[in-house]
Amino acid sequence: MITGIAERFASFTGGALKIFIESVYWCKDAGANRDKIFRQISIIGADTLLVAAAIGFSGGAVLALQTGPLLADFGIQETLGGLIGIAVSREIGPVMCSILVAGRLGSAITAEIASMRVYDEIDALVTMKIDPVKFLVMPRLIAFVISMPVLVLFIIVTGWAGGAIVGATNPAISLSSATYFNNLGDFVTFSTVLNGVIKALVFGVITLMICCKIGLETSGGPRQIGVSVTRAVVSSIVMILVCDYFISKILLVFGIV
Amino acid sequence: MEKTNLEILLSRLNGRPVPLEVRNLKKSFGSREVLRGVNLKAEPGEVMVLIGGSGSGKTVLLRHMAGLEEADEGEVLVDSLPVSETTARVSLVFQSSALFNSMTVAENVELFAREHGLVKDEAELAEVSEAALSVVGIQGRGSALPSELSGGMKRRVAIARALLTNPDLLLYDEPTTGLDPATKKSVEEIILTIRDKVGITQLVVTHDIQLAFSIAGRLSIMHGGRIAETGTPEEVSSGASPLVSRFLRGDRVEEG
Repeated sequence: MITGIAERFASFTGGALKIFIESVYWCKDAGANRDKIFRQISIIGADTLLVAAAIGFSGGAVLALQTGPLLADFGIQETLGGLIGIAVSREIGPVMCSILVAGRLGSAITAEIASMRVYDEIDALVTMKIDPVKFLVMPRLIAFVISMPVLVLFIIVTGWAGGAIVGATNPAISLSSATYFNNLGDFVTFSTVLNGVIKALVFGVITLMICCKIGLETSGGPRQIGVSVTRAVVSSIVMILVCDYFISKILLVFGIV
Repeated sequence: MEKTNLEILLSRLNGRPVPLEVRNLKKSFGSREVLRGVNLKAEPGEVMVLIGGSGSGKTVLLRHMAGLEEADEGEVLVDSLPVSETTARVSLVFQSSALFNSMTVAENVELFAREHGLVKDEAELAEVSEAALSVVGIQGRGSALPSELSGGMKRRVAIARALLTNPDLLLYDEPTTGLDPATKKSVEEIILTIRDKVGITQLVVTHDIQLAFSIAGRLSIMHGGRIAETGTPEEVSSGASPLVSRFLRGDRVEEG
């Protein structure tokens, strides 16, 4: 049974990797597809920015609410800025950003591609000698590569702001924003933020490949579209959380912390 | 003198008539044998019609001809080369129309030209796409989304889209199913016009006996995953086997 699961995982990962390599290859035609790329970027922005602000802000705020009073008990509440800054930049920001992307965009991408598969649109592309990976995946890959860093930076900054507001308004913490941001500046470097950006980028690409692969291999009737969407979102979130450890380890080895 | 829409469209079509040959094609899905050794030949430029009961394997055969399925055994040759290697352009009008729902009708029709970098002049492309839509009776609806069209209109857009790929071999899967008599007639006229004015090879899969007899140069009847009979419409109807007679009368023909 374990061998069977391993074989299926290897086959799935191999398929997703193949789609990734093909879409990287088709990036040579990005110029001719800039309209599609801009459309995808605007979809990503429209679908995620408001939610990103909400989850970034509340992520930072909750973290401050949970840790601030504890730090205050030890009289070290001025370190709250550094703690929130590092946690949001390295971990909460990229993971929340990627889960948001998996739920909001990954589901939509899988549904669109799976529906194209079920209703013969992918076959129509093939008969027109239009590569489905070039037509459907490549513009999204480029849009993700451009948008994920922006999106995660947005979540990180709103997370910092959430922590600052809770620190300043919660009587159990009573930390001025100036002290908060001074401490944050002492601990958070360019490398700290880069860590989060790289993670979000990798998670975004993993999510995209999983969703495209599952969408493209959908077969059967309309009912399968829903099945594919669920499978794609769950697989993406599991892969994000599993890969998080390994990517953190790799970034640590390269000193990007 | 100003060109008609048909003339504008025809001026863009320069496909060459190519032969189509199916050799001992076999295909199973799981334990279900769908194609059991199909042999079929369409001569360059002819309109060949494939009829048969539901489940006889017509659509699966058509998908092999379009290069969308891999055979278990046997091969499909287009212009004497396996369909996966041929340089001939093969286009398929899907039964479901398979229009891209997120694109307008005009974008659907122009997609092939755009994706293959064939657009030299936007105005010219717009003129040709509007001419193609007019020829199939969808004039002035280029900015509509497929979801705003009826099933019959979608089918006609799919034909216009297939034509603008400038095919050498044009395949149709049930092109008249669900269409009203007037639209059926116009589809029939389009197929015959392409035969007479462009001369490319066309293969039509249909249930519509009336359409089959109106357009077919030769007619093949498929039963049980094999070709049961092939001939001109006259040959098929005069020397009909009991199976063919039952099919032509409209009696149910059980597949097995």
